[in-house]
Amino acid sequence: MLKKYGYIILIGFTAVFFVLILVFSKDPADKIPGFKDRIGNISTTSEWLNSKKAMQGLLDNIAKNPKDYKSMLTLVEDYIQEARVTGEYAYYDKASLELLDKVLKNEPRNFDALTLKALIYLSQHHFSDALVVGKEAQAINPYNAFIYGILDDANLELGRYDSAVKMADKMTSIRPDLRSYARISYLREIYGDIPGAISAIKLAVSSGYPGLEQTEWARMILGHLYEIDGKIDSAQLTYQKALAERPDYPFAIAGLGRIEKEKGNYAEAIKYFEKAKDMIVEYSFKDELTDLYRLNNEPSKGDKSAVDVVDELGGNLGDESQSIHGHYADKELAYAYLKTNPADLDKALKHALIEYDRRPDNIDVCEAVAWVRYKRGDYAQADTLINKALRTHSRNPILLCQAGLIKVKAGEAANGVALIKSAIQQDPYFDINLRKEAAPYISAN
Amino acid sequence: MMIEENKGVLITRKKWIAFLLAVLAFAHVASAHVVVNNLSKTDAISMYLQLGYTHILPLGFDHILFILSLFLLNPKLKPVIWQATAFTVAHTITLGLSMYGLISPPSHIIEPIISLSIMYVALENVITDKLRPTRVAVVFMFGLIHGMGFASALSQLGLPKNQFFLSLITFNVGVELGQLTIILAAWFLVGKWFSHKPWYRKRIVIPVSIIIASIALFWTIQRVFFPG
Repeated sequence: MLKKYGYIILIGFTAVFFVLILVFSKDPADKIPGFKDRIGNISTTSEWLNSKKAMQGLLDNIAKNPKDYKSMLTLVEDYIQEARVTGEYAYYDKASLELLDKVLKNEPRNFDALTLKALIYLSQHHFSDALVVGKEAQAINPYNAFIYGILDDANLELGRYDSAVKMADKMTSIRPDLRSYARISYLREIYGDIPGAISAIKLAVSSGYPGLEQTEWARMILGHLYEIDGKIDSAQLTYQKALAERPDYPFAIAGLGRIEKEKGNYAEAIKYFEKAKDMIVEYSFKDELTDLYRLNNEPSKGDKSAVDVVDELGGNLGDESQSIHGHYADKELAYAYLKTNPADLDKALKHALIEYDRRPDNIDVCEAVAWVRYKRGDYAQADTLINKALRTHSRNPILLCQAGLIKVKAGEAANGVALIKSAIQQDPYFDINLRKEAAPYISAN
Repeated sequence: MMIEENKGVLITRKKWIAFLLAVLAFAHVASAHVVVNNLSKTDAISMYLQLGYTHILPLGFDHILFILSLFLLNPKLKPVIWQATAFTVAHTITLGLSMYGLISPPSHIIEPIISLSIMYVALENVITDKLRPTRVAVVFMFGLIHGMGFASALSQLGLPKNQFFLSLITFNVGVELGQLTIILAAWFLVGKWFSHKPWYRKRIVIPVSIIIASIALFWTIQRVFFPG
């Protein structure tokens, strides 16, 4: 019988199992969020092909062994990088946290997992959470430079600048590299040492491999520092260099757009920003376009762009913002509501205060609340907050100019005018709208 | 910082933080692929030959059982090598297609089918004592499936851009060498001495095939219902 019906039984048996496989075999990777295909120019780079293969390989590892935590952590690292390149923070941050929670559920003292979780919290602007998790990781391994970087960032964002400096020094003493130099640069900038910040970020750039995203991002910071130092030609060259090293880098394209804006070439600037906007999800490109359309006598486009920015930041989603990136974005929303037509001053204040409740010592947050107060005519309250924002002696021309305007209105005309003049002296090309607003006070003195 | 999103400065907070910390992420990608991409021709041949070989011996227990199942039915070198070659040609095709990104088979389907294919070949050894021409066709078809499984393993390392085709072929040669090693070892250990014995089928082919089929059945169930 076996000889007669053997093949029929065998084939039937195999067919049944084949169907069972198709019906019941579940992809373990279904529970593991995969990566998203890139779109546009960034989808054609060899870097993407490499990254895609790496991520797929890791997903396959996890599919075969759902307890392969090493692959999960490596995948999180890839997702963090992918979010940077694509702007898809909402997706990749959520995916990364899911993966990290799986690892930490089984290995609660996994240093890498804790470090990466703190990193994601930073990315989401959940700075207090980042500090808690970062300290937990630091207790496990106090000799790791990376964790001091996280603690530096968390302290800095919470406005604890002295602690941030200590953490940055510790990080640099353990490992002087692109990351630590970049932090030193940022802290120097906060404390008003622009030449020192430029020196440090130059070290960061020279520590990186030309063309890599993080190296070119460091170059973006260098360009920005040149801008706020009034050296727009150097800034332009820096952005051009970045584009040569990393073609189609959207932030370098936007940098060139900003230079054109500073030169008053608004139509040209719009072209750059529209190109950058089409490449990645980045609300700030739209925010720039809002100003540029208006400067270029296209007010309806400007108004629409302002509404788009609010939408993108999650302004219509609820009381406490979670932008489409999944981040707290209340400070950004506060500014965004100042640009809608008409400006929504109540919502601007509401979001500014939400952010202020989270981190009342951060100078950027103090500046944001002060500026909203100023726009509402609450000059005394604005003055108190802007003093807090000025306490690190930052030389940021926008901060200086806003502080000057607030002080003039608050009755400190001499101090105010001096601040406005120092802003212009620092950078004659900063935001044209702000300069126009300040112009009467300069000419009157 | 200089984060003045509302005022014309594009550097946003999230980018800044991510920039400072995501070098770590890049390091992984770089280590996984930049190194591979910089391989010389000699290094690529050596590396992928070794990778292909070790994917069979000692790492590919399921592939070892598949080859042994092919061997057991007719333990003569020529027909077994023919089957193994058909198998290699087939898996070269799907491996190449997968690595070029033309097909992307889901591993959770492919892996159980690979074990099912082992079970099929082992059970066929039980129900027949003759090597039928259809066997080569079946082996070829299963080779296509196994190639997709190899692709999953190979994709973890990637292939160097400058030596893509060479590395792919070398990997397959390594696989083929691994298979030949199994066949030769099985022939020296079993085929040469016992294949002509009247009890060969009853005492070796059928019991060993049943054991292999049982293991393959276990794997199939495990991979479908209890993955990981």
